Amino acid sequence: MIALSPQYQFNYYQLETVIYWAIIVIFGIALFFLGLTLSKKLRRIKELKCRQALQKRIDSLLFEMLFTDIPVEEVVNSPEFQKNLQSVLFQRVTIKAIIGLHHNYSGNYSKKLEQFYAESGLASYSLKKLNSSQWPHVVEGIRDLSSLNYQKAYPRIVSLQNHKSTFVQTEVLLGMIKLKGIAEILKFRNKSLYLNDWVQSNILFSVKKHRISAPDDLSDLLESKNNSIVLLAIRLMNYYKKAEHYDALLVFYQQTKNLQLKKEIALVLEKTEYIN
Amino acid sequence: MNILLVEDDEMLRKSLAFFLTSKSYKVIDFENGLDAISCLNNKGGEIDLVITDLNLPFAGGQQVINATREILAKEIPVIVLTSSGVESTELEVFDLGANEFITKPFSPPVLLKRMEKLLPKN
Repeated sequence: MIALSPQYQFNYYQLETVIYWAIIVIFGIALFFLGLTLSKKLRRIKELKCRQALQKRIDSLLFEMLFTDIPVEEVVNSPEFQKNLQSVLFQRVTIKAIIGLHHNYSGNYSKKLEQFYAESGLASYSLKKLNSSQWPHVVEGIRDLSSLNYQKAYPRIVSLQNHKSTFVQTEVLLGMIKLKGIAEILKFRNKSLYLNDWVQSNILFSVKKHRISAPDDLSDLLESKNNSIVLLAIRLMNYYKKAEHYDALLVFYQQTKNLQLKKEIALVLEKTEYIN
Repeated sequence: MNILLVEDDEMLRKSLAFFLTSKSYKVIDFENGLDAISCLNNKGGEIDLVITDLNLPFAGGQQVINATREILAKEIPVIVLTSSGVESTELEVFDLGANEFITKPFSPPVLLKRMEKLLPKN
């Protein structure tokens, strides 16, 4: 064994102590974070289990209401439903489930879901979201209300069309179309709001889903200074496949210098006898 | 009557299974085409009717229809759930080998009527 001088021996023991403490501290921190991660994981598992159990209860409640002769009033006024309605998680999960069902079923089935949404107080919960200072909540509120055709919310949704967030503005447009039809798009003809492909595909989906007929003055949208609105008009004309729209498209094709719009129009007219 | 239901939209799958069960059908449901094809391989003889979506994970509706036609000895009716609403797409469904189609959103009694039309009467 190498003999160290007292000075070095002191430093060596001091260093050893520091290393021991460092190991203890690092180990302690690692243990703390491990514990934290574990507790977070356990909490998430608990939440997931709770959510799954809640989802099961909500599914059963909605399916029975929808596919049996149980009246909406009976479900809404049941003590169990009223008790559950106090929970925000219950409200959120139920609204999501109603939208999922409404998306797939038509006729009396979708009407019954709309009635349930309005009479259960869930629509009021969505309306409250419109007052939030956080734009994702406002967007969620507009989406819930318009997807479930809550007509009373229309003026409140329109009042948000100049919201500082462009996400809210585009959701307002989508909401207006869902509630009142595709003619609402004409109100945005002179707006600078950019409609990206996601928004446009949502608008087209709404038009297809509700089989909304073409507004008389759809061609007016081609006069918009907003190219994204013009692009949407071309896509809508492609969907409706009306001869009068093709005439307007051909005129616009000859006038516009925008290559992207020209390309889009060419794709539409190629399927017709208008251009070869 | 045993119905094989293949639909990736969880809410539609669960609710439709509930509806059909309430009408005394036995429903075997899957969220993807691959599991449905595997079921056709194993329990194909027990299936009386297939209801499938077109756009499915792992294996699409077309593959489910092909598997129904190739694996099973007897002719099983197939109903396709489409979300298109466009006439040409709806007609393409028949070219794929389906017997009927139903466009989403739909009314469950309409689906029931189409099923009754295709299923043999006992």
